[in-house]
Amino acid sequence: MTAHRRIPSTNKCYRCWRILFVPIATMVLTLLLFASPQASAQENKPAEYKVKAVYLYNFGKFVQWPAGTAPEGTENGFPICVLGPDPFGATLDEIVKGESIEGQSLVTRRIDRVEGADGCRILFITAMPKERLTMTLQTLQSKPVLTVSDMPDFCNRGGMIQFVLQADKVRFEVNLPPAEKAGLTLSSQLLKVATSVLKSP
Amino acid sequence: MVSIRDSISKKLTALNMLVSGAAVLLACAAFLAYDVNSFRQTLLNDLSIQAQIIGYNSVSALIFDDQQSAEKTLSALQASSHIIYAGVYKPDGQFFAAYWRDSKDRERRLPLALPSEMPNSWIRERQFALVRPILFDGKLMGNVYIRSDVRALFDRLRNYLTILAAILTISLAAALLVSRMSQRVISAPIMALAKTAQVISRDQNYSVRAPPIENRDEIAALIDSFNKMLAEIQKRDTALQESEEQFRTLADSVPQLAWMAEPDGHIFWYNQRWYDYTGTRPEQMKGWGWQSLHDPKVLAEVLERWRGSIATGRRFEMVFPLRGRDGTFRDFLTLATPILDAQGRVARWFGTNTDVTEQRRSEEALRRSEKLAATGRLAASIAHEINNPLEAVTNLVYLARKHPSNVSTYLKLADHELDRIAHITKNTLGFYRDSASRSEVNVSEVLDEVLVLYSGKLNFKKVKLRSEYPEGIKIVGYAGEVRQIFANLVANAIEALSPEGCLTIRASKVQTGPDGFCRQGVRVTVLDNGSGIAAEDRKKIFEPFYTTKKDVGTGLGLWLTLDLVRKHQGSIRLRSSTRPGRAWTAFSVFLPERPPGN
Repeated sequence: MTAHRRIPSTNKCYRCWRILFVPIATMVLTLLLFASPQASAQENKPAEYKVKAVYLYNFGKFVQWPAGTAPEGTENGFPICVLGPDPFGATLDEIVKGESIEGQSLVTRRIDRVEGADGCRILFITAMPKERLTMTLQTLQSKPVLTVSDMPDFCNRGGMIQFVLQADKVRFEVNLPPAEKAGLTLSSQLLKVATSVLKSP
Repeated sequence: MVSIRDSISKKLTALNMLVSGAAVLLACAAFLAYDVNSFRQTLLNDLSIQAQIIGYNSVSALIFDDQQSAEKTLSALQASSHIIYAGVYKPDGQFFAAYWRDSKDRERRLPLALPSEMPNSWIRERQFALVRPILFDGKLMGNVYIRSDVRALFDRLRNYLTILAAILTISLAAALLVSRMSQRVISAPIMALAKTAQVISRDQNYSVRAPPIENRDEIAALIDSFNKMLAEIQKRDTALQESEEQFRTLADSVPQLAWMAEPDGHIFWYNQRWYDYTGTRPEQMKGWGWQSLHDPKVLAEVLERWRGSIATGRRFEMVFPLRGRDGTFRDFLTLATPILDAQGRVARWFGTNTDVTEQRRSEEALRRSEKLAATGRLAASIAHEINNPLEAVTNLVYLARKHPSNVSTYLKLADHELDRIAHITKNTLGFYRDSASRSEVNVSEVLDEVLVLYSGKLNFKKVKLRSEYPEGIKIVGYAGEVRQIFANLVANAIEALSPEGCLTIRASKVQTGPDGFCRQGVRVTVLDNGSGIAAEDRKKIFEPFYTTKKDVGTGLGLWLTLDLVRKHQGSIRLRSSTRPGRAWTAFSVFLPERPPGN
């Protein structure tokens, strides 16, 4: 995967690349053969989180927040928050920079505690223990915050959007009841591309 | 079957059909062009809208990289059967998802035709195609490339053409019907008129009339005018026939023979008198058949002069004999007058033949009697001329008897007187020598002899005589007749003169005759200062039996003189004045040196 990612950057030195192709390919193959699956997953992460970061930002375009979410005069902009240890690094900030949704410029916030999530539009929750997650979601219940996570069972536990991997592609599931409860409206366009949508019975 | 060239009604029908057909065709073509164009626009618009809908519905699929969702969206296009292909592409032109109408193409991937290379939409190879960008939130998310066939357009075009054909058929049928109906109004009267005209020109029957029609349009006016024209022609025809009838009656009742000829001399009509006199039939006389009636001796001259007249258009005048039905020839004075047309060309000749045989006979008798009378007068003057010397001789004989001593003297004197008598008789004999043939005539000598003959009268009246002519003026002619011409003129002059009047006789050779032709000849003028001749008498003086000397003259002298002058192809001219105290009369006679033609 490393080699693949380097193709565009080495385009200018295509000739050199051709000379180096055989040894590098050999190295990569060796790495692939002997590396543990754990290691492979670790290698995937930066690309995967870049995609997730882009999705995170794009969700904002397909969701409508109830009126009054962003009171006038607040200079919050449109905050995308990350709760817990940040898996995106600088990627999220790079994507968000200069962008805006509904005329509000995007900003990022890292928070440690769920109480600091006030004013957030989108909240990415990194992996955390189940009990804490339940508590966190309870705290956020009925608040106009779109909760997103890549934790398994996130939707079953009351989260709104859960990233899943399908055939090496980042996809997502949607859980509508908590979103409805929070007053968020998810566009049918968004639901259309979701792998599955949980609806209120 | 009447061809369209020959029938006005067919022409009208064809015209009607042509006009209505062309109008319908033009209108339909305009509608078709407009509609096809606007329909094409509509199709493109629809296609564009479909592209936008697809684009809008593919945004999330593009953003969240969900190819299946995009394909699902695209598969909705199955509903519109014209769309052959629709593809969704990423902003950089990379293929994302596609729809093919035909399942066999499913795996094909068309490259995105970028707007920079081609216009946003085009029509070619019977396909519409267009590319629309997918915009979301003001950002380019991808492109839709859609292709449609033009079957809808062709379907519409075909429907249109079907409708057009139907409209054309219906309108042509309507036009045919209308023109059939309009024939009753327009072409039927014209055809009736044409038929009438044909009948008239075939039968020459001008009593036929074209049937009038009810309305008051131009055709009615035409028919009316045509009928009026016919009436006029009929009237003129009748008048012409009447006039012709009158002319024939007139022509047949005149005593002359009459005829008419074409400008080339072909005689096409003779009056009845011609046939009565000649005993011929019209078919014998046609054209130049009249030649059989002529004396072969004069025919050549007649033909020459008649042809001359035809060539020049001059009046023809000649006396020649024509054989009657009894086989005898009679003399006819023939006059032919050209009748000119508006351009001054000879349209025809009108000729008459007047029987002058009797006239000629009586003229001959007159001539003879005048000659006898002249002889008598001459005898008297001869007797008078001889009487004096005879008396002298008688006296001399008596004196010789009385005075024998002087006999020789008296005899000498008597001899002299007898010489004079001999001279007179000799001269007088010359007058009456038969001169039936032409010979050289010495005009000077003839004048001398005439003056000798009238010397007694001249002396008696004490006339002053002036003879102004050279010797030896000669012409060719009949000597006795020339002598008679001048004798008559001198005798007239002496009678007109009062005592001690003046008589002048001039003669000279001249070059040009008085009628303008250049001829050699002699002019003799007899001039007296007598009483003169009044203007009204001058015109008639050459007519027979016209005389101012009621007691002494027969009125034939000058008539005979003119006759003799003409016989010599000469001319005579009279000038006179009756001014009191200065009256005079001059007769000028021109005689050609040789008669022309000899």
